[in-house]
Amino acid sequence: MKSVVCILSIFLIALSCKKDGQIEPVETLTFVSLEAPVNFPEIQLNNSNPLSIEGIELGRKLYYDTILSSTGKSCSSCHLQTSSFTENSSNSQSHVNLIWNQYFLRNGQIEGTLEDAMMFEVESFFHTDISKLNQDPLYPKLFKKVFGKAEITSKEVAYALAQFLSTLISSNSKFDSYLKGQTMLNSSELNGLDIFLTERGDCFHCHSVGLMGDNSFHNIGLDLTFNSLNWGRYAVTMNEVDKGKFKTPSLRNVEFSGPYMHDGRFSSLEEVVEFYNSGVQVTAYTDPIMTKPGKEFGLQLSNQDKIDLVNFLKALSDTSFLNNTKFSKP
Amino acid sequence: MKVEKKPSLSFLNWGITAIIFFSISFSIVLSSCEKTGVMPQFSSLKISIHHVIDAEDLELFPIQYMNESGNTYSVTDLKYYVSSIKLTKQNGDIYFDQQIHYVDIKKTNSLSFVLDSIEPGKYIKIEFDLGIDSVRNQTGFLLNTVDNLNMAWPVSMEGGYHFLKFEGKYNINSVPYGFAFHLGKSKAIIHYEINLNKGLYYWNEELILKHDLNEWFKTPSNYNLEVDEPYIMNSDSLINVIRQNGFDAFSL
Ligand code: HEC
Ligand code: HEC
Repeated sequence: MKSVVCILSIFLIALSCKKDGQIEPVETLTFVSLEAPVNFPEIQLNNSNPLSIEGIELGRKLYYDTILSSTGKSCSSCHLQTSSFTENSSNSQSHVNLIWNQYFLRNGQIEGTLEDAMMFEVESFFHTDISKLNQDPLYPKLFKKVFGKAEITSKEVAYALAQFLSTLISSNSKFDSYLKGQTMLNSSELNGLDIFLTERGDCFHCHSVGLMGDNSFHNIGLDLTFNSLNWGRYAVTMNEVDKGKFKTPSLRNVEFSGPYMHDGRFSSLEEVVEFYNSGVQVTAYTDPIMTKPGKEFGLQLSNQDKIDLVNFLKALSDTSFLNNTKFSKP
Repeated sequence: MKVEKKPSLSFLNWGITAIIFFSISFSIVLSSCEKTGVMPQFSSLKISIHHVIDAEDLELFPIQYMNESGNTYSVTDLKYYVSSIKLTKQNGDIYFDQQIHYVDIKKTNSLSFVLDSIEPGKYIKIEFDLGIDSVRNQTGFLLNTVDNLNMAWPVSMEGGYHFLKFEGKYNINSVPYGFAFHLGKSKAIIHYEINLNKGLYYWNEELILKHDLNEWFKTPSNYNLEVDEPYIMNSDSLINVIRQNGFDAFSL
């Protein structure tokens, strides 16, 4: 009997050890889960940061609050919902379907979960002064409710932001309802789709159907030479093969997320398509998909093809996402 | 009377404790024996794929390899599915692995996989497919992971998955062009059958499968990237040429 009790208590100790270091949420929270839309990868929820309505709300409040910075800026200063959470002058990256990201920033400098990315935003990018939050009349109560802790640290700020960002899911474009057989694309969009999916344009090999990105990095032949301004992934890995590679952006809501490319060199989708059509630079670093024989300097699309491809890209717009009041300033 | 009974009860108590203690330590000793001496009930086999070009270990980038036609080339990406692994025992018994394994040269942990619960014995043949059989090669069949979704073959072209993505660059007069051998569509599946002479008796047995990328460029057809189409996905006949070349890409 004694030894059985012993084994049991060791087992219990082991179990309770597991919880160490995790934030114990308080019971009154309303937990929610996220479901992956059709054609999307499974969602890997972060067990150490269970999603709750209260946590998401807190993240949203923080996202729109200048209290996080010492420069009078909030996240939303450079990430505007109506522009798919981008902003023109800073050429920031859009926030669509970030929950599926493994790499953050264009060179993938941050690898991991949304929580990891938010730790970077709070600590290294914003250098958030956490004492301001702790002294605020409202925030300590809200944080206590979600994370069950009296004191706010940058971890809880990052976790709350991550909860909000993980809900920014866009999966309701015209193309999605076409895939579900609910809407027809018009003939121009259909030709654009054909270019997108076949050798004619071959866009889908990097902008995979579903996320419309591939969670990977490519050199698409924007430049002939490479220096610290356009090293891209190489700046992180120092691996020669990674020169000029950037993260493939999701094309969802791309109509609203200009200017385009890592340096914002193109201001319209027409310019982007013209680049793929005739502007690709062939270097040792250019992705093989971009330099097919006969097409090594571009796709040789007709004027109508180019219009159709742009029209298809616009069929990836999701106004229910851009106008969703759950994502807007509280 | 009551007082007398107590010692015997506590004796019983200690007896149980001792039995539990001994059985636990005995089973620990037993299980540690499994790894060293005593033959276990089942064997497990770790298959590791070793990528080479002729005799050299594959290195991604720069352009440094030469194929049968004299093209100098590099490999930038290599992704494929290995499925339906079958091991045949000397007595004819067959071990079958249902799984579809995704291999990506850039992901070290995808370069080997473990087959469990193999009946111990001498095995004389290994068979497997590069690609996915027609029953399972259906869009959406595989778990929607990022990798599987990136391997999707367009629905408008029969759907299913890419069986192989072998991409790289080759030089013509020092200008680097791209090639992409993409195999897909159910009939492009490649079945391999390789003789083995391997006793599988213990846990963690190992088998190294050699994948020589230069084989995709030759036998039966010398594929010359300067002359032949380096991009094959849109042509069933080119897919078949590369497929035929691939039959000897794997060896032990
Ligand atoms: C001063 C403008 C600015 C502000 C303020 C700002 N961002 Fe950004 N953000 C950017 C830029 C620019 C990038 C793209 C960086 C690059 O090119 O790698 C970016 C990238 C990101 C990304 C990466 C997305 C991806 O796909 O990898 C995330 C996530 C993000 N920001 C979240 C936030 C959050 C949360 C805040 C508030 C804490 C915030 N940003 C505040 C400008 C800003
Ligand atoms: C080899 C992979 C690859 C292929 C093929 C590819 N893209 Fe891209 N695409 C990328 C990468 C990587 C970027 C980001 C480059 C940068 O940030 O400088 C990008 C950027 C874009 C952008 C700008 C998005 C933004 O937010 O800045 C658009 C639009 C786009 N691609 C459309 C297309 C179209 C249309 C095709 C087919 C004609 C195509 N892509 C083919 C990898 C690819």
